[in-house]
Amino acid sequence: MWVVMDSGMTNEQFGRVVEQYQKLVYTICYQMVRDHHEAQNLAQETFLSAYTHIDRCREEDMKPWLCRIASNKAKDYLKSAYVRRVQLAREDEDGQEAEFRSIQDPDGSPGDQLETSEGAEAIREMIRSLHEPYLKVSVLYFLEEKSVEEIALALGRPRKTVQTQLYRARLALQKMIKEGA
Amino acid sequence: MSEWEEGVLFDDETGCLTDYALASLMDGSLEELQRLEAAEHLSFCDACVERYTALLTEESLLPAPELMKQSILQTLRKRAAKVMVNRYFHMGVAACLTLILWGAGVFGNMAGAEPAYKQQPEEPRKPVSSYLEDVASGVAGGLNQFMDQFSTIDLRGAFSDEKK
Repeated sequence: MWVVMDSGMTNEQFGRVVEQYQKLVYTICYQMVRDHHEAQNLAQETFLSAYTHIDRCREEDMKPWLCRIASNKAKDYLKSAYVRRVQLAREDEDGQEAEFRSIQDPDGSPGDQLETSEGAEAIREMIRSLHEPYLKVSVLYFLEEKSVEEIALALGRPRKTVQTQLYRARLALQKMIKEGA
Repeated sequence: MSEWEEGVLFDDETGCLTDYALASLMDGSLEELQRLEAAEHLSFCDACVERYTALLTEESLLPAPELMKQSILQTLRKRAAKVMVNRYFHMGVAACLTLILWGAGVFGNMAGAEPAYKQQPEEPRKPVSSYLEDVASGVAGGLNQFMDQFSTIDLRGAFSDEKK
């Protein structure tokens, strides 16, 4: 039986799309997560998401469009795994849960630690020594005190991406400060 | 040195993935955090997606798991069935409500209804029992009237014939 859902595409038509691009999507997912089982799950999720919005995509744009959805799925998976691991490591390290939460929210107090530190200039240097994708967001946020929205607009990055990049930049800076001390 | 200084993954000018980053992503030499950074960038950068997909030629692709397509289509069928069941359930509920409201005469009143500003204040509706009382009293009144006719007729002669 052919089933037409909201996308206006029958299962048979969509089956042909899956047939055509399944190797590509699976390869992208595997290259991102390096685990066959997870890659299969993410590839399936990619196609299920694609099916819901397939009317937004032209046939000739299908390849980059699916690549972007797969990257998004892999990003979400890797991000949750990374946050979980960092959280556990920090709890094991010093049990400073409250500090972890304050870092999680980059909107909270930009550069507090940097302003109060005696070696403020040294920390500014550390910020300037960061590499992309953390350099620009950190300079704009910590040194030029721009808001997350302003940075997202200026760099053409999603707001959430800017937030997570700031979060990771801050962790890296803390690590550098600790190592420097 | 911090972990992201090992190899240049992003161009400091453009903020885009370098060729080294894309090659490393494909050959599996990136660490997990670096893969996360790459995935994050690819999720919004059209230019890098274009470059990456151009590198993913047919011969570089992995074979897809055997039952992946079937599994995807099965999930879609299940979803479609669920949507259909929900749709018919809602339609059934709507039909039942319509019948109930129709039976209660809501639509009849609506059909002849005038706009609220034109409506005169209505007298309170009579209950059905009062209609029944009216009918009953009408029947009783008719009977009484019928009986009254006989009271005006002189029946004395008739009764005298009966005696004979």
